[in-house]
Amino acid sequence: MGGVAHTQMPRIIWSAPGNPTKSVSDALGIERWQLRNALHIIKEETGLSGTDRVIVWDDGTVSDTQGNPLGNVFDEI
Amino acid sequence: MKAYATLRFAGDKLEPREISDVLRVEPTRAYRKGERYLAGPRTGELTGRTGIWLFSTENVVRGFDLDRHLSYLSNLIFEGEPSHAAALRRLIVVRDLKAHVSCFWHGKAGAPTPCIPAPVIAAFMQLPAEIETDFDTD
Repeated sequence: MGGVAHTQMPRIIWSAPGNPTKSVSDALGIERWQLRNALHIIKEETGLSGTDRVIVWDDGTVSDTQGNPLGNVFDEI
Repeated sequence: MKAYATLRFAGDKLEPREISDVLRVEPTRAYRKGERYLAGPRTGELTGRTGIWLFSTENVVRGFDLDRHLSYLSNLIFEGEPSHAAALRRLIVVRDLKAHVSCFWHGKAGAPTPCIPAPVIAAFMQLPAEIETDFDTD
């Protein structure tokens, strides 16, 4: 008998302007400098500026405010 | 601690090869507007919203002295006779590009924030390139 696969939808863990707090990097299981570095790279590589707001999801996805993916934190570590 | 600098050109009419030919380096990331590129194994492919050419000193310059990272970029742009800057300025105008230099620094709690020397800022402004800092501590 096959079981039913339950997939959880990613949830937002950061959507405020500015640098994410330590609680966000803790939720991803990484150091805060690693998260900052990953966000910096993702913004640079997608043509955004440091002040542009992005959303961080608990699977590491980084999206713009419309939910369009820009990258994944774990790709940059 | 971590520090590096990035030189980026962006614009809808950007042709990555033109920047690489002037600076004679391969970019860390480059794509044209509308081009599909692999952003990473988890992200998969994305479509360029605008053209991007960027070069990061992260894996090129050793150490966390931001001055050394910025000096590397400055030499890259202003070396040569005539300097690469003249050719870049032409591309910026012809291709309607925006140039930008960003500085990343993360230090331990209480560490003094780096200061970018005024001549370095003035040099990049001549390109013209905006300078953006992303500094923070634990």
